[in-house]
Amino acid sequence: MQRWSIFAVGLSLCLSGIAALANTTDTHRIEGAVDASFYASDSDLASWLRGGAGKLRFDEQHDGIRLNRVFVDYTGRLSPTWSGKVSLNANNDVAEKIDVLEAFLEWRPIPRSAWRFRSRIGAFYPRLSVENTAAGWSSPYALSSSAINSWIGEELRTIGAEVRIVNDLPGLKDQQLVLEGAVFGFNDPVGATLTWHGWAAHDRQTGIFSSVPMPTVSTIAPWDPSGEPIPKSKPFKEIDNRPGFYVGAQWQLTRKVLVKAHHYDNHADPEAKSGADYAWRTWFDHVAVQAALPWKVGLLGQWIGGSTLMGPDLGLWHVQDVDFDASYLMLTRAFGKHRFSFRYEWFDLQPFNDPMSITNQDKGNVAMLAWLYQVQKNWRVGAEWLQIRSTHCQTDICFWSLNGLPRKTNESQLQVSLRWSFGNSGE
Amino acid sequence: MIVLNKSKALLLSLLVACQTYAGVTGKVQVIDAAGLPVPDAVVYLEVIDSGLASPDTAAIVDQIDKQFVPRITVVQTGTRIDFPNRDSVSHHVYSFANPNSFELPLYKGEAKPSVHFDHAGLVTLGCNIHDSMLGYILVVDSPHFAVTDHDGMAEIAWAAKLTVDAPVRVWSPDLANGNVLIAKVGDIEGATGDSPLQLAVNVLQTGTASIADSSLSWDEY
Repeated sequence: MQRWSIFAVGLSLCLSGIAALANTTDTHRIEGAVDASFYASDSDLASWLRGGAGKLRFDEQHDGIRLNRVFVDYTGRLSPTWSGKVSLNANNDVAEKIDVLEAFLEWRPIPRSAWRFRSRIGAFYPRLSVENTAAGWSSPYALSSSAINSWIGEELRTIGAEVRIVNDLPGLKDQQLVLEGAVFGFNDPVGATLTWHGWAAHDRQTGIFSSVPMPTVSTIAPWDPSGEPIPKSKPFKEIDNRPGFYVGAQWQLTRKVLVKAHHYDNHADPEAKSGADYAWRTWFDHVAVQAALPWKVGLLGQWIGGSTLMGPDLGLWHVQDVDFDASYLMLTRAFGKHRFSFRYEWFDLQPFNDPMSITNQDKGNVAMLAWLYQVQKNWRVGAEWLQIRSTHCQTDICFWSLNGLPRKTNESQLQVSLRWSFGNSGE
Repeated sequence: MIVLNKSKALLLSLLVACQTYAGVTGKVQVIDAAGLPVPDAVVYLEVIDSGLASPDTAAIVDQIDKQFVPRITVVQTGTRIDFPNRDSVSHHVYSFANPNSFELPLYKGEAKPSVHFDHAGLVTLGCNIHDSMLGYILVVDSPHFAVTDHDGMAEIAWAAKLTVDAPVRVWSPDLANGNVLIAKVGDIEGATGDSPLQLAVNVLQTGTASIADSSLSWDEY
């Protein structure tokens, strides 16, 4: 095991010891885990993490038993209305380093009317996902995130300020409305990894001080496999000094149905550059739903549609100019300490700057079946099967096939996971 | 002197006996327009000059599994309510409705203060940490009240001296039109469990109690 892994596990043990001592109050809350898995991958492609065109995090050359990640969430109550959160994470693959996923202050003043005001400032995930609701932005339903949330974890974060107002709708029983908006920066390259490796299916999140390894072959663009070392994208950079924003609205029938919609635009200048990193103008619409169905089945779903573009303006389009959309539906059901979830996804990534359809596309589906079993308070086992199919050519000939790769790819993965969690949250 | 004290004592105990409410009871069932029972509805008798509750009157509104338990409580003006927070997490209860507005941090491992409700009116409870928590306390100027069970049934007892014209009111957050005057005391007097007096009300929608669904996370997402 690498040195840092030993350090990370040791740090977790220390923190859990501290957490155990501080168990009577929740002024300081710690929730963390160590994830280890056995991966059996079936794919002809090397992982995008290692320069290939594959969508899995661990390809056939790198599967087997692995330490997956270590993370710790700390939440501190600073006053009755102020709290702070720091989420630390270390991935164990190509880039090994302890980094920060989120670090922010939250202000929740006591409401003086039916409208409740809440705000966050710092670095945090926008409230898009309905899947990643557990500590460390992990999923309580499966081992991997959907393609949408895999992308968000890779290169999207709000680094700025967000406000939201919440109200119980008068005269309508148990219905709640939320309006929110944010202004942010430091995310100008968002869109780069999506365009370069297409949609992916994994649980790997990028810390705000880290870079994302990029494939040498782009899923979309014509290739230049000149043998350069794997480039990296630094997603959390401010390049053009232009803030981005998002607005959203949510309706909830308390604990029964939730629908939310957001519009996001990082308002980046696609011709702005800082070193090797371009700013990518990325905007999208996003809808999420969550519903408690009969027979205690839960339904979750997300849909995203937008575009990202980068580079000099060539008149009709920019050098990189793609449209993307993706969606999924998941059904989940707990049976005591066991949980079964099934997720089916549709994804699409099309170059806008190619009316002749010679460049590639990334259009496909993911099927996922997961079983999780909370053996006892600190131990969880699980197994997940993932199947990803994608079509890369819009016509018979495209750069993907000209470079010797199959027009249609099929990757699958079986993951068996063991999680040891620690903390004092008591939940 | 001793004889006088004894008669005073006797008179006092007679008065005390009249003050106990074992005198008259009535059982009611609150139903909606379709005849279905309305659970969690407050039924109370309007009393003039009832005064405040006696000083040691207390009620409990607990916090369990991120919900207020009971969801609906009715107390007499002047009652003290304890919020023990037996949940596994901290809560911060508040109500912004004047004149009973308050805020109460209920942190795990710390003392849980109680609140006196000295004004009649509706108190809508929220939690500043968990936005979906919702509860109600109806503070009434009356010692005679009950909350209907899941069959819509409630039994109320009162002193015989209450006039037969005293109004009977029903309140629920689901009602279309607030504190309705529904009946008179004389109407419900003597009604028993086998044949309760049915009180029909207009509900906004049939009440389906919010059952905590453990499948999904609902907080903040």
